[in-house]
Amino acid sequence: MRSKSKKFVVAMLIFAMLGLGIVVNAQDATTTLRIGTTYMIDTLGPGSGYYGYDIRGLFYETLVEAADNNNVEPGLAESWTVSDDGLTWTFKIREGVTFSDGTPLTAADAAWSINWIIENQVVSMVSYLAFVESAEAPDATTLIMNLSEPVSNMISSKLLYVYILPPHIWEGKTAEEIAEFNEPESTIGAGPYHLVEHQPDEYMILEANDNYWRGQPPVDQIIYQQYSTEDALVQALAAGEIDLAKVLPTSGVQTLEQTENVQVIKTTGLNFLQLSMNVSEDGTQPASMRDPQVRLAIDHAIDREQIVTVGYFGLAEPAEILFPPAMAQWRNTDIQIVPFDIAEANRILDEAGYADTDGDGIREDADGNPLEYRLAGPDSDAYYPRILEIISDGLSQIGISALPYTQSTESLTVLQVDYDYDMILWDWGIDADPHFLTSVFTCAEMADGGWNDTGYCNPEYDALFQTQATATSDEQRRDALWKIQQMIFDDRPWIILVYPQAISGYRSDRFTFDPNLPNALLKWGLFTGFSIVQ
Amino acid sequence: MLEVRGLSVDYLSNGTALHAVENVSFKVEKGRSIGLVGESGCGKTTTMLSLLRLLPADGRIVSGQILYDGMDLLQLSEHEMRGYRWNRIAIVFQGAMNALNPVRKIGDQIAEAIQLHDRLDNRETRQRVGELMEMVGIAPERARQYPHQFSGGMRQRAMIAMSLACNPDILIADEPTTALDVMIQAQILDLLQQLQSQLGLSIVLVTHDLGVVAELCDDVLVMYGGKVAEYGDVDTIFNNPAHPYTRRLLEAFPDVDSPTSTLASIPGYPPPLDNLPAGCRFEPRCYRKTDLCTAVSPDVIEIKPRHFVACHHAEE
Amino acid sequence: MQFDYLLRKVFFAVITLIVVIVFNFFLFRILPGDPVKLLFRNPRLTREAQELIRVQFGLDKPVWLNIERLSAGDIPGALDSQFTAYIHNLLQGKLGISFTNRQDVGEVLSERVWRTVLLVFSGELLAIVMGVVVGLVAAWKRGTAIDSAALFIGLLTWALPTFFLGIILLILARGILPTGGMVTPGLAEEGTLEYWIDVGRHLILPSLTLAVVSASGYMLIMRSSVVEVLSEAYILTAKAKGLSNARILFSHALKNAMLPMITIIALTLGYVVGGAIQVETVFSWPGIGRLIYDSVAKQDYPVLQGAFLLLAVSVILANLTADILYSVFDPRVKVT
Ligand SMILES: Nc1ncnc2c1ncn2[C@@H]1O[C@H](COP(=O)(O)OP(=O)(O)O)[C@@H](O)[C@H]1O
Ligand SMILES: [Mg+2]
Repeated sequence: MRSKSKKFVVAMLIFAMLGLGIVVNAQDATTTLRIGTTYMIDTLGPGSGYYGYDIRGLFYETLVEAADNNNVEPGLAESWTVSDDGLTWTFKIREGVTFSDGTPLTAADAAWSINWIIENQVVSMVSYLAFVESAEAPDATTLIMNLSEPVSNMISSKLLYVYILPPHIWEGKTAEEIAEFNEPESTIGAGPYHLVEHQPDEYMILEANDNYWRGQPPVDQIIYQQYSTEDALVQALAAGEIDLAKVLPTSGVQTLEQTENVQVIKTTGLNFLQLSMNVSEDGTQPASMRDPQVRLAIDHAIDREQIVTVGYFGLAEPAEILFPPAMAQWRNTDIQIVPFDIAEANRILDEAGYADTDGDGIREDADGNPLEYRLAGPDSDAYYPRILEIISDGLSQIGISALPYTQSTESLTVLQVDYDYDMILWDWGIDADPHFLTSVFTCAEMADGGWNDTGYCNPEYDALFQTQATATSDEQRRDALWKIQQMIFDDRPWIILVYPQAISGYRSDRFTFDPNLPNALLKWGLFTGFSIVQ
Repeated sequence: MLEVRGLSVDYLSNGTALHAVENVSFKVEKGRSIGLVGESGCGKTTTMLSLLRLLPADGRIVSGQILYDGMDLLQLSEHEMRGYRWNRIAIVFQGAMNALNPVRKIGDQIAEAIQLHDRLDNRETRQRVGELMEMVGIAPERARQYPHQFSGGMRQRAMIAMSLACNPDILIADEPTTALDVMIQAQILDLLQQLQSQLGLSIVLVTHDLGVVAELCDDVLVMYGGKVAEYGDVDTIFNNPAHPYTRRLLEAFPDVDSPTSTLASIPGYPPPLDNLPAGCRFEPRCYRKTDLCTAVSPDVIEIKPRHFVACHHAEE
Repeated sequence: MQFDYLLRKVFFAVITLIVVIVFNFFLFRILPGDPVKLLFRNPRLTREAQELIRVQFGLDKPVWLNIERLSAGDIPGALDSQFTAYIHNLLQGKLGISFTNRQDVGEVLSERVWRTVLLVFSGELLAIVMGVVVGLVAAWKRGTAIDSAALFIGLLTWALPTFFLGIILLILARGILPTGGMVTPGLAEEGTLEYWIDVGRHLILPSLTLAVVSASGYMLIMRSSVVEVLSEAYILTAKAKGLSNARILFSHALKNAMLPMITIIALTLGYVVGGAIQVETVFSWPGIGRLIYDSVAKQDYPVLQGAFLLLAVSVILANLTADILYSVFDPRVKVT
């Protein structure tokens, strides 16, 4: 997603990637974990919230849950089965679970929640229930979901985001009321914490749910404190005002590593930096941009090592493939990457007939139009202009002129949805499940409001996408996904540049987090080896 | 009572010293008034400001003495000097437009001087302000008004009332009537004359109006180009002028009773300070000049008792 | 002061307000792009869901007039637009619901406005005091080393980026003063003494930063104003009266020199509710400035409209206050 949505996806990513074991030692006093963040939550209600999923996850339970290493573990559903045709899912709902207000949670509540989301088109969740026609609860521990088409990532992705909610809070509310209900009661769920105080854009205080089904949560209180900038997080962590910051800027690493009692965690996760290439049939880009050979030459001319050093202070890895290593389950390891090779890039362009006919140092296409492109990036961070500069330098060596400039993410988004650009640099954070990421390149996403930012439209690709979406076995899905990665690599609507490291930090004088336990920062991590230092 | 001896004042301008006043001496005697005449730029205002040590930042008194009852004011500390200002020597400036603070009431501005020097309580002060305003012919109620509510003549009266606040011995009036209309001018001058006799003030009246001098003053000091041209009592100067400049001034005023004529009737201009003649300052405009005048600046000499002239040809 | 004068000023204020209300509506709608597309560009949102939001927020209606209905002669239908909804709501005192957090804009603003006023007011006040005092001293000591030092430091802080200064102060005070926010969460009950002490501790750095960057402006204006006043004849009169330097400065020069400052101060304070985006950002101060900044990025029209209306009202009031104050301070101003 673009930098904006990057926030929430990074949150999910961190949620999914940082298994921070927290061990509590203090017995009598209230234990508090203070988390610094640059964003918290937009709405308290689950119906219209678009970010703050790590916090929402503490309020509400789901049928299944993201655990270590992108695995999925049982949540409210102890076990499940799917019919051979992939259309009927049966879940066994855990017994003895209660909502944080003490009301028991049964399969009927789970069925009610799913039907409620579908009936009310609850915008934040309804898309995950695509193809689900209805849910029913024949008894207190059985939930049955009826689908119209098989969904391959039901467990690995979709159900991770569907909250089971208390009917007595939400029953009878209109769509508008659901969207606008913003009282603390709207956070009642079966999760390990519930909300005590919320000051928008300032802080949230969460208290442990003593009835939580997994047992007593390990810290009594969690405080989220919001800072406006990531730099402020660095200072707050160094000052000991917060115990944990999940997203820190690479520029803060040096300071923090030299600060006593601060431990920095670097992980390569579910994110990458990429260059979107406008390949749209009705875009405003020069025709040469649609030539795959030009894009291949550009790929050869980008010095990724330098991007890592200059753009990220070494805290990144050169990248080529759409799926980062963290998606090992689906990642195509056969792809032959293209090396940084200016000579080869020049050779490709020569061969493709782009010569500098007028001797101005810039090649022209057959119609005499120069290979001159707009090279844009967001202005939201200092590393973007540095990286744009590196790319532009490389391109100048192969007779391509690309003037780098930065703009607000909002204006770039506007340009991009209109295909009014040539090349744009973006940061992406993604789900562990590849469904959304691969949907971006489908023709359907070119419609208004869609995600296809390059105008890439290929029926062969769409067929592969369909296969991975409805596959009934992992092997079948993996096969389609490998082909997808190869196809994107060869066609280059995107050129993947680097996998940046995600930086987190915590106060080692207050908590110890095991950096070798990479998963689920809070909800999962809290119950799988988290420790408090004296 | 006040004796100025050999006063010289320079203005520093871009590192060069301009001699605005040179070797000026005169006396202000008790109860007598002296008129200071000369064209614009002759150094009259500079001389007056020097008496109170109020020269602007670029002005320097380079030599001379200002003796007040034998005490040299130039040797006093700034703090001691403040005790002389207004209390002994008060001044009414040229052009009353901005001499009063626009945002403070007239009465308060008068009261301020009284309280500073005379330590009266509030009631006494108010009463004194009332007396002073009556003395200059302004209704005491108007003490509560602001300067902009006064006409020009009224403002100058208020200034005069203010100047009398601490019963000074000497009142300096630097062209007190310029910018006022003729009727008002006469009224103000009458007022000054009346106050002088009533209070036994010594007045130093700076003007370029010889008619006024003849009417009001006992002594006359004629300045030209920052120097004394001629100095003596009113009869001597008017009846037996010895300096060609004085004569020219008097000729420009054939009728003493018609003070409307201007000094512009003398051909030429006073010398600019950055280009003073080597000899007599008046030499370029003088009808009697000789080679001596061009080469040597004449000293001030007492040609008759109490009649001082700076001219090589004074006794001819 | 004449009633007539006041009435006319108020009349013009009301006219201005009406213009602002209309302008306010169109101002944000000329931003490129579509708020729903931008705001909800989110994989959780299907296209149907986006359409739903559009309807919920009335963004499916025409902005100004429904031309089609108009040509069909359907006047009420033609008037069913975003603009009429906006005016209708406004007349009922409603500022609408925020696109982003679905909260009542009036509530959002009223919650934040006092925080911003607290920050900007204290910062500007400090700046005014520093600026006036230093400007006065510099003017009095014109041409001396003190004057040059004041000018140099003034120009330096004036040129200093707020961000930079803020971060420097933040790093210097790390561990001594809080790095951000307005309160320490969960420390004290709102309204208690402890709470206010905590707020005060959080306020120091941001208001100091704001004060340092804006003081130089006041200082330079004050200095030149005093220099001008000191050349006036009434200052010479005051000297001739035998007044001490301090008295001349404070009872004759200051009031006159403050006259141009009054307008500047009143107008600055009018912008107080607009917040200080940079300072609020560096120190994570949850004020109006940041709200406006974030809302522009998200094209949250209702919040922007509300915030700008608030700003406009306060600027208009500040102008009115400046006029009235000026006539109080300067007896020469004829209030007719
Ligand atoms: N502040 C000053 N700096 C430099 N020159 C000055 C200053 N004030 C007066 N002068 C010059 O000194 C000379 C005498 O001025 P002034 O005393 O005002 O003359 P008058 O009062 O006779 O008109 C003039 O040539 C004038 O230009
Ligand atoms: Mg003069």
